Formats: sequence, structure tokens, C-alpha cells
Amino acid sequence: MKLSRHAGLFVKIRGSESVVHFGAINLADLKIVADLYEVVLFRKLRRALSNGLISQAESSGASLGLVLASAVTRIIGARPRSATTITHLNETCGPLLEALRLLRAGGGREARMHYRAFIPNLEHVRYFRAFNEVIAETEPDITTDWISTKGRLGPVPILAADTTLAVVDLFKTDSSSLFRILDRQFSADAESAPLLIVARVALESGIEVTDVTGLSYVLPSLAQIADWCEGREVTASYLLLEDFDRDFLLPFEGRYSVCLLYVTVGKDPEFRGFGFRAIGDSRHGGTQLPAVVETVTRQRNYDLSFNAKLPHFEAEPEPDWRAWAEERAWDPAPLNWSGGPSPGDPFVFAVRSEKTPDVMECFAQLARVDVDAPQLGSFGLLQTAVCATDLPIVDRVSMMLRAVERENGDPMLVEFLARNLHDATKTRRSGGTATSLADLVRVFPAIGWTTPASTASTLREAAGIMKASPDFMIRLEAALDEFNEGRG
Amino acid sequence: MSYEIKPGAKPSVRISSEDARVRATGADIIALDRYMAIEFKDEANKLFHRYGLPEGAQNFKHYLRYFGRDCYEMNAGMVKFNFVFSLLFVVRKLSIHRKRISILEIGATLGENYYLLRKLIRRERLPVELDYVGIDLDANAVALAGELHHDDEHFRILHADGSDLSRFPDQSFDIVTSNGVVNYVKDPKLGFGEAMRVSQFCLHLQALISPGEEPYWVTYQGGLERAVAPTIDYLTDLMRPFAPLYFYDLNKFWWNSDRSRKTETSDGNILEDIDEKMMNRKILMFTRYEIFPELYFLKLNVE
Repeated sequence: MKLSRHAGLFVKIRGSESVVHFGAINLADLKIVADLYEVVLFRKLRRALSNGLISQAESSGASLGLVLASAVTRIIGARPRSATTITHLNETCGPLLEALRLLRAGGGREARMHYRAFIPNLEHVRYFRAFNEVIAETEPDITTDWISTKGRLGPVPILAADTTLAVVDLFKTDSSSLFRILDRQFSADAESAPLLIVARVALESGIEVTDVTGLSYVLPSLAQIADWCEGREVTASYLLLEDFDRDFLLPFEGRYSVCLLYVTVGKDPEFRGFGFRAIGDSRHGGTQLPAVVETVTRQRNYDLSFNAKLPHFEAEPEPDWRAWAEERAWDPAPLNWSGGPSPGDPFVFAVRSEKTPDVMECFAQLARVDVDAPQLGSFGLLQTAVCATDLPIVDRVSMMLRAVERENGDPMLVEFLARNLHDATKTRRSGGTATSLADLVRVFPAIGWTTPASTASTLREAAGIMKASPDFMIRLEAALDEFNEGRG
Repeated sequence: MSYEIKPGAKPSVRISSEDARVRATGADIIALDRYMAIEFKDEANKLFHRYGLPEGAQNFKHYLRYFGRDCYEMNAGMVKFNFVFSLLFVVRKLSIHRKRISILEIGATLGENYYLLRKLIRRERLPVELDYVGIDLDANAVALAGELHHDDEHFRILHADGSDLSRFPDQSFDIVTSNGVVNYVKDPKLGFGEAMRVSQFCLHLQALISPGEEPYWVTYQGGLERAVAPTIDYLTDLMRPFAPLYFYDLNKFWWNSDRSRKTETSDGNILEDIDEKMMNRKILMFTRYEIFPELYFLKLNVE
């Protein structure tokens, strides 16, 4: 991805027709714009690699995500462990995660990896879930979990126990929190996990920047970081980046650079190279004070590189719509649309009409329906029971049971029932205690319906799906009592 | 016209100045619900309705919140819930006769309606296969939707304008659906006409409806006018060339029950039942077939 400035605060994303007006969106949105685009790009590339559309790839060296992922890969490669856990303390929708996956698709290491994301923004949580839980459920190469930190930057826990490397991306946020994070992570006596931070740093002290939102703050300088390292048992390395994809994103005034800062407890002889330079205490081999570095440190030895010509976002070629339509053509005219599943189902639709404005009254009518002369089909009963959240749970359960009874235990319907019983009883606070389906089977004879063996088997199969709140059975039995009373 | 809508004071309409910033360019359809809020004020200049996204929801990102959710956890009062469930209802009816159903959604954004519909269909074990085609004007949304559904051969998203469906032959799709888009096109007559032309079985729409005698028009930046809330008469007039057809107002359906919605205005007043009083977000359906004959009291033959 390459972002270019266009007409002041408007930024046009190359390859897209959208113009993002930075003055109109807040910082969290600003961050997600670039990250989301990067996620999409990396996923496209990864799929192209796996499909063989790209074989030999080469990097333009402009992607911060890839640089970061390459550094992460190098660091964890130098610290081999049985289980690798990457913890990202300021995650959005997972650009680093996707970059790591891309590196793997390009022939990276195949060791098991777990990626834990601390996500401050609730909207970003949803993005992360969309890509990594719901949509990407078939991609188990890297396991993930996420923790919403509800508006705060990551809690900066002392990540020693199960974290191989902690990553913090402070690129688009106020880098003044850099020292707070360093203090928290390296204040404990216990061994802390190494920290990799993306931050904007000044090359000289006292550089103040003003971002597009009007916020001004002083950037931390390399000299300040060296001062912080003074007297601490840490090794700090830095890598200055320049002229990469996000460099255009925030039109700051001032002389600054974007820095990858790698800090680890004690000496770290295992980690070598990748262009990192030592910073901090001379006892650990670093320079006393880093010289002002103005030259660009270009990296060429990425684990994966790709062609400068990025795959564009055009969809696959459109089909011939005429042929497409002909293939699906059919004539609905001769069909008789007046047939309904049950003559009683209009009752379901009639609720809330002018004739029966009162929902509860209408459902009360339904409840009074004689079982032997059903007004409502089983399908309508089920739909009513599932969707009519206004109704008490006892009414809904009794409707479901009656529907199953009427269908003589059609296996598909029973499974549908089992799933929806779960939905009907689920509450936000329910702990999700599994209820035995055998219990459910047990109640069917109570209403005079004998469960065929095949259905019982289906019910048992559905048991894996069904969960219910702890008091589900109590409510179900109450519903049954009421139902039986109603039958007289 | 046997249809009844409670009349209300004719409001003056203006776009609130703080939200009237242009967030996207190059679109002939301005998706007002995505980019700005509209405030409706009465003659005394008192705010009685504010139509817009929830606080903090901007651009298309709010759609993603639906992806990670179980559809049955959705609040039944939510606009999208009503839309998808009513669409499911049509699919159910059609599934009795048809195992492969093609759907065109105008303004599909991220394909979240497809996602929810697919989820519901799988849950109900309906034996149907969807051929879902979505079009949208937002190139980013199209790219993202293609990415989110990349492994789904039944979903296709195109970067296209809803008022120009010339690429599709007549009656290409069993169902053409749109959630609050078709009434915003530059030329509503053309928009509705195109949607009806390419639909074979049903045109399923959700739209903001004006309960008064006149559509609500908004003058947009650059002098363009949009009917953000047409009247039902206005809509049926537009659909008249396609008669005979049947017209249902699914807002009367039980799943679309009106919760007592409360809105706090900027001056601290609590407005209740604003939908009942002034605005109705309707789910409409135009079909060439009498697919719900039992709903005789909802049927309206435009012929």
C-alpha cells in the first residue's frame, strides 16, 4: 500500500477511488484506514502465493507491516522455544498478524505460533473478529485470541510467563507513552518479555509535532531513550525507518523518524543484525549516546519480498450475465402460490396488523388453540417461538414442544428445535452450561409423544450443539406443567 | 388507496451543518445513511427527528459489528434485523419451489446482509443455494467485501451504480433487494425501474417513507435533489408501469413490531414513537405473483 498526500488534509489511497478526509475522522479511524487496507492487501498476496499466482516475490521495502513482521520473525527465530506467543498491546484489525501469515506463506518458519491481541478500540475488536474468528475460521496456521482493553492502551502487563515477544505499535498515537510502557515492562525483578515498539522518535531533543487533529506534543528522542537505558540491565536496539508506506499518513511538522525499538532484559547475544543498532548503556556494548542518524537504514533481507507491482483490488472478471441468467432461468408463473404450509399460518403474519394490534392478545389466541384442530402449523409455531421475544419463555417452549409433537419427530425439525431451544433460553448472562439432551428426550413422553429411536439418536447428535442456561430445565418443566394443564 | 398512515406536520428538512461534510466523492448515489445525518425540524424549528447513524458509527465500519454476532442475538428492533428476516421470509416461500435462488442487492456494502441471510438459511436447514450478487459504489467497500467473502463461490460483489443495471438482462434475478438505497438514487424513477426490470420474482426494499402527502426532498451540496423519504403513493406511481404486480408493506408483519423507541433530542426532550408520529422505515415488497395470498389485508394491486 502506498498512501500519498493530496490537497492538504485529503489523502487518496492509491488503487482506490476513495478520498479520505482526515479532518473529518478521528484518530482511531485514521489508524484503521491504513491498517484495514494493509490487512486486505496481505491477505490478497497470501492467497496469490498459495494459488501459485505469485512465485518469486520481491519487496519494495515500503511496507511497515512487513518490516515489523520480519523483525518479529527474526527475533523469535533467535529465541527458539517450544511454544511461541506474540502479544500485541495496541492492536487494531491485525495487520501484523496478516504480515506474519504472509511471511509463512512465502516459506517462513512453520513453528506453532499463538497471537494474542490487546485491542483498545471496541470497533477495532469487531474488525479483528471479522477477519480472524468469523471469516478466517478455516485458517488455523496461527492461533489467535484477543482481549478488549476498552479504550485504554494495552495494560502493559509484565509479560514474562507465556509471552515470547511483546509488540506495541505507537505509530499513530502519542509516543509520549513510550517511557510509561518501558517503565512498566522493565520495572519488575522477574524476567520480562522483550519488547518491540514502533514509535515516532525525534533525532534531536525537543522536537514538537502537530498532527492533523491539532494535537501538539514533544516526541521522545533517541538521547532520552539512551538516558532511560542508563543504569538499567537492559539491551536496547533501534532501527530507523524512512520513506515507507505510512510516512505520508500524518503530515507532521518537525524532524523525526519512525523507529523500531527493541528492548530486552540483560544481554541479548542471540539477536543479531537486521540493521538494528545498539542504544544505551556502554556496559552492554552500546554507544553512550547515539549519534544523530539522518541516513536511511534500508533493509533488503526481508524474509519475504514481493514485486513492486502489487496485485490490484479488481474483482475477478465479470461473467457473461446473459449466460448467467439463462443458466438460472425458470418460470414461476405456472406455480400455485396460494398453497401455504398450514392454513393456520396466516395467524402468525396477522399479528400486529390493524385487526389484532395487540401482540400479547394475539399470542394468547394462539395459546388457546385446540391441539386437535390446529390453527398454526408446526413451522409457524416454531417461528413464533423463536422470534417472538416478547413472549415469556414458557409460552415459547410450549410452542416448540407442540410443533415437535405435531411433526412426529422429524429429525431435521428436532435438530432445528434443539438449536432454537438454545437460542430461546440463551441470555447474555448465561454461563453456557451444557444441558444433557437426554433430559430433553425425557420430557417428550411427559407430553404424550414417544420419541422414535432414530430421533433420539439425532437428539444425541445435536447435544454437542445445544447449550442452555443452568435453570433451563426448571423453566422447561414449568412450561410442560402449564402445557399439560392447558391440555386438560 | 387503502393504505393508512398517520399524518403528521409537514416538516422542513435540512442537513445538519456539522455532519454535512463530504466523506466520499465520485458517487452518483449519495448514501446518506452512511455519510451524514439528517435532522428534521418542524415549523417552529424544533428538532423532532434525527436520522443518522448511532454516535461513533461512521462510514462502513459499523456494518462489521454484525459479522461477529449471532443473528438471533440481534435486537428485533434493529433495522437490519427486520430487513434480513423479511428477506428470509421471501426466500423461505421461494424455497418451496426453487432450490437455487439468485439475489441482487443494490448497495451491498460489505455483504453483511448476505452473511446474515446465509447464516439463517443454514440454521434453518433450508435446502436452497444462493447466487448472491451485490453492487456498491464505494470501491473500498467492494474491495473489502470481496476479501471477506473471498472463499465463498456463491457471493460476488461488483463496483457498479445502482441506477445503471444495463449489464444485467431482464429478469436476471429471482429477488432484487435493497436496504435504503434505491430511494436515494438521482433519478428514482430510473432506479426503481431498473430494479424491477432485472427482478423476476420479487423486488424487496427497505426504505424511509414519508407519511405525509409529499416526499421529503433534500437539496444536497451542488444542487442535487434526493427524495430521501418518498411517499407510498409516489412509490406505487413509480411502479405502475410494471403492473400487474402486488405490493406488500411488510412493516405490518409481526417481526417488525414497533418497540417504543425513545430518542433524546439536543435540547433534552424525549421523543417517543417517532416512527409512529412522523417517519416510517418500511419494508416494501413488489411482486408479480400473489405469493402471500393469505395476507389479503396487506395486498394492494397497483393495476
